[in-house]
Amino acid sequence: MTRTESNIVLFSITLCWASSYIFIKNIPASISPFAYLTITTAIASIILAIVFFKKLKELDRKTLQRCLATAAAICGNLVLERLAISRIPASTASFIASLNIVFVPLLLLVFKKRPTLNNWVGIALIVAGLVLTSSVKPGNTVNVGVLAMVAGCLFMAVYIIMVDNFAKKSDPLLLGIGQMFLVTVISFALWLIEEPKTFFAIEYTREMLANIFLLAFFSKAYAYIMLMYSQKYASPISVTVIASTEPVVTMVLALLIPNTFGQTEALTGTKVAGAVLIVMGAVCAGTDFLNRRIHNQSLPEGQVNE
Amino acid sequence: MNEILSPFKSRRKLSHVGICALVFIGMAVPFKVMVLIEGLTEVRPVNAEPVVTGLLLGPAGAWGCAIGNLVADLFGTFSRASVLGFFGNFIAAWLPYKLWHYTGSGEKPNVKNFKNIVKYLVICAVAALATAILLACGLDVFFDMWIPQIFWIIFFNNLGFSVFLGLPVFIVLTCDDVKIEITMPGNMQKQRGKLYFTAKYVLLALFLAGEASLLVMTAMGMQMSASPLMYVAGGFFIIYLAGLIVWD
Repeated sequence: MTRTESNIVLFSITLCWASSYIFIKNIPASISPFAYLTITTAIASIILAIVFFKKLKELDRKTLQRCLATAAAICGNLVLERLAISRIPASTASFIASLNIVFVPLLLLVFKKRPTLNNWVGIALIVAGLVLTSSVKPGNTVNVGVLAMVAGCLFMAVYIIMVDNFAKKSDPLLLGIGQMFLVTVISFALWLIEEPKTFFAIEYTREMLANIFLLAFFSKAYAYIMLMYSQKYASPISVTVIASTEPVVTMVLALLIPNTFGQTEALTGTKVAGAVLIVMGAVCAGTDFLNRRIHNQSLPEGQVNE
Repeated sequence: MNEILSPFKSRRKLSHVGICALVFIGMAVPFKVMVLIEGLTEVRPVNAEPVVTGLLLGPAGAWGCAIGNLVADLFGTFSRASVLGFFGNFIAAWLPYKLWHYTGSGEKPNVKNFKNIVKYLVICAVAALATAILLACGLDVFFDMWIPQIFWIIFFNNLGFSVFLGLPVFIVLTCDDVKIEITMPGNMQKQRGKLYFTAKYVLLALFLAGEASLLVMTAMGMQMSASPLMYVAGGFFIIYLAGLIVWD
């Protein structure tokens, strides 16, 4: 897979996750995040197991351990986000959730992988864009909710770095299927603690089931398998940079598709400016013109680096 | 013509038809609730499949999509118009396969460079337009049902999903980790004369011109059953399309 190909795949995942909000809106509020995660990942696991039944025979112990680690990171992120969302405003939560763009490069420094100058400039632009699009207000005090959200975000950053490492060592398809199955098991356990009646506590409707199926298919089965494949070829920074364009994609989709109440999202100047900054940042972080310029300046006069 | 019927002569290719049809049904049925025009069409992410399976599996992919669409119609939208849906989805997969190899130099379908990405996008647009013309004008001419929006809904449903969903799937299915045996036309080795190539590209140019003229007429608000000019253009379009389908 070439770099352009992996970027296209990553962008399609962002598109999937951004558009998933359209379907999540149609799911009753009475369904808890653990129930939602259990049902969607269970359906996704079943679909993947049916389609790739033959491949499952190749699942070994090492791959299963890796799947368990990634599944635990996803569930850790979900539990902490759930703790945080009830304590802080949605705009603050959404802003902190998008700070992976900072956490991933910082965590990579621990592994002595230094992001490039283009990465840093791009990340700064994206963070500025996120501040503008998320409508987060300055002066919010640091409370348990904020700390939980930051911790949840760290789990996600760890997940991205783990997948980057594991996808190069194990079969991406097996990693994706194993992870999906183990997330189902862990989230079901959490759901059982939260609501002992689990599946029997839900009121099923045709519309709700259709939306659940769509989310399971696209935002789980499709997105995670594609993520595994693309991360085999892309760096964790590329992944977070492309994922950071999600607010822009959501904004465009909200404008194009009227929501369930027949209204469309209002587009303010601040939001447009934020979206432009995010796109500029993503382009900057995904290229290397600054590094080349510095490199060329350090070369003797007359010699230009190709 | 032999090539079109080839999946029914090999057990392996027949299994490809079955798998494609099952995937199509699995992706089409859940979206039946997202109706755009009652009884006729809905939001269809499944429209990403024909281009991908057509490019990868050729005739087997085309039959799989056509049969899959017919079976999926049984879950709420089955009518006489399903016959058109059968042909429409067959063309949506068959045309990309033919166009890729028609204009290529024996290269297996891939999007590993910019030129091929553009080629993929153009093929998606041409196939989406052909399907939209066949279905929208077919409904008008054969079933006396002219719904102006349906042309654009089919066109954008096909184009949008084959680009935003089909392209990433195609990338993964053609990467080194996935070992899919891509179906190539059986006549690649044949020596051809200059006249053959001239006729081939003239046919392609006529087909594209026919498609473009029908697009312009539809955009101008014309209706095939009420416009002799559009009828004639439609007739030529069908002849050129048939020529492309059976071209060896």
